[in-house]
Amino acid sequence: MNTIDADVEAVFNRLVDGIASEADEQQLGELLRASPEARRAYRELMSLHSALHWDYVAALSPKAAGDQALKSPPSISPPATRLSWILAFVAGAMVASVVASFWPRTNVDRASPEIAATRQPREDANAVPKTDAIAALLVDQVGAEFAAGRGPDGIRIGPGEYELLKGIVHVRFAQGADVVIASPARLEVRDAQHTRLVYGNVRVTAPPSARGFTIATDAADYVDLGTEFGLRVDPRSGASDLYVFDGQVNIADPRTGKVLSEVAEGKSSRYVNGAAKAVPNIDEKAFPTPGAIGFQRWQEHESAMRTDDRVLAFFPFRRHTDTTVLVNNRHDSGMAAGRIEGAGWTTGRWPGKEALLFDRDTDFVQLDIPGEHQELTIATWLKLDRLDFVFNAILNSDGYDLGHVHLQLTRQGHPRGGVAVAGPYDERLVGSPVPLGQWTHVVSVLSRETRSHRVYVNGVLTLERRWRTDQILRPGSCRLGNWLALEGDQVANRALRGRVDELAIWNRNLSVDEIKKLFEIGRPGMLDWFD
Amino acid sequence: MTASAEFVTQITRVQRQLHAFILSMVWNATEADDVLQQTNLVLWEKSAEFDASRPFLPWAMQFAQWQAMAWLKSHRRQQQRLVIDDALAKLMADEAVAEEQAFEARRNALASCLQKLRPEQRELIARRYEPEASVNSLAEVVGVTAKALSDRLRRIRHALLECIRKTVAEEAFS
Repeated sequence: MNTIDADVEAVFNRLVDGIASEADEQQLGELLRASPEARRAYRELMSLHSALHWDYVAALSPKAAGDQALKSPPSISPPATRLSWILAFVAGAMVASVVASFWPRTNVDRASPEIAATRQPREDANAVPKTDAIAALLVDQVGAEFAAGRGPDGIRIGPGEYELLKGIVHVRFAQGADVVIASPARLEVRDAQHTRLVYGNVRVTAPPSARGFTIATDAADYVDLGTEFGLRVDPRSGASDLYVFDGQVNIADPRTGKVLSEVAEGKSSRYVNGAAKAVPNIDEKAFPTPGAIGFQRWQEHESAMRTDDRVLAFFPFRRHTDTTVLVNNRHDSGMAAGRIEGAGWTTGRWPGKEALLFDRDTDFVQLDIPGEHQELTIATWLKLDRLDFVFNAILNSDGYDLGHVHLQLTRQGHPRGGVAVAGPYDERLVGSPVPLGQWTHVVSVLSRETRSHRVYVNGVLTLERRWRTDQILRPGSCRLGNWLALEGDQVANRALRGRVDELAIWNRNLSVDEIKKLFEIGRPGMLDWFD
Repeated sequence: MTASAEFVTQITRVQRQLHAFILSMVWNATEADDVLQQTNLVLWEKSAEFDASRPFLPWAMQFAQWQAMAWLKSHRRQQQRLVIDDALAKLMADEAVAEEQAFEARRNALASCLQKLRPEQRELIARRYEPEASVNSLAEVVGVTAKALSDRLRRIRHALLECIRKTVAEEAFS
């Protein structure tokens, strides 16, 4: 800034400090238009101002603020927070579009015409796209149906009235507040930070960036101070019940804005017409979490799989009273339950959902897939802890005879396998390996007719193997999580290290669309996957 | 939906530069956050139109420019619109894009330059940039006028900018 004089520098600084006069502003315009040096100095100062605002203050604060016992704000750390909520919203937007692509198949097709009619045509692309009206995005839902004229525009939620008739929706507001709404509910969205709840149950989780997020009700206003809380408005009495799970919520008078009470974590309250009443018992389960949406969606899928004739086996991985039995929900398909050897029950993709943990060389599940098949599809959800061996088995036929089926991972996490055939085969790896520590969907598709084996990881083709000789598929006795080796095999130990939650087997080939849909249904959290 | 992991990487990489530019248009950091957020949303909506063989920043910057102008037109009084019009906004956006490399170098230099400040200078910067801080309220706490406080901050910023300039110049020759 040595190329501009101190007066100009002072103008710039008053501007960034919010104390510039009109004359200062006027002068700024003239300076910027007239001089490249002034623009450079201005740009450099603004970049510094932006960087300090974003990055460095939290790193300095503890040291700087510690000594003199300054009045410091609650521990909010701007750098991580600011970047993460902005990115979280971008991720939310991307996820929302996934939901949108999924939505028509599950809802709008079945929706009544007037519901479908509320979906407005998109406006033409202008130079400046119209986004002022977006207060929030619909990022996830299960079974959602909105009243005619009171639903989102696709995934966009602008200011206006919303009435959720059925299902649960997860909405992410533009400043980072997550709201899960359970039907029946009615609300009026004002902007990214203000919503009125007419009736219904909502769970709000607000990061520091959304501090001040307010839900208004007839009885009182609820101001979030960086927290998680449930709020229920009774449609008949108009009573507002609050339960604070974490942090603090201020209850304010809806007319004056005056704080009536402060409710801290673990506490609840009831207000009717701006007056406190006896504190009710509140059941936390009445306020679904974002994860609960995914679990419920999967449970609907679980029911549907029970009655799907083309499914040979569906192992939902629900713990049975006999903990050594892996129950097959398709009782009449000719495939028996699995026998659990060693593997222990643990938590699965959602709270309340179980999985099996394969942790020792002796842990596996013995299964039998009887019969001869033209086509097979094997789909599973797994979360790897490690890849300890040259090959790490997912599901392998015992031994290695013609027609046997193998699905395993290499030490790098790339899928490997197919059907045992006479003669050579060609293999093509086209996708990414299975990651460690993340719930991942792996699907194996085998076909006698096309003489091919395809493996999809999270809905994306990863491996393709083709062979030249005709071979019917005969999986027979199999192990999940290990391999009963041939005598003398060099890589006999193929023990899996990680969790498995769900295994499904069809005697047909699923299409890519069907596989992608399975992935959408079974993924543990819409946002976790991107975060 | 063509927004890919690559797109997220790109959009992440340019966040700070977009924010700095938007801030030079709207002046208030919190409001710049909002405009950046809207810009991100538009970028995501337009991701299908992005040609991956071309540089990302110029493409993203034009949306930041439009969003910031739209914000000025709808939120600010007449005065600020006169200060920054479309032509000046475009000029500033183009110049910001041209300095993409320098921007990163300068940002990296800032960390060490902050360490070179005197403790009381660092403290003042920390308090000025803590969430929801304003110069007016801080001046009251410190017991000086806002103008005097802004002047102190000006000297610290000046020192930081000088240090950054030196650091970047030294690195260029090493």
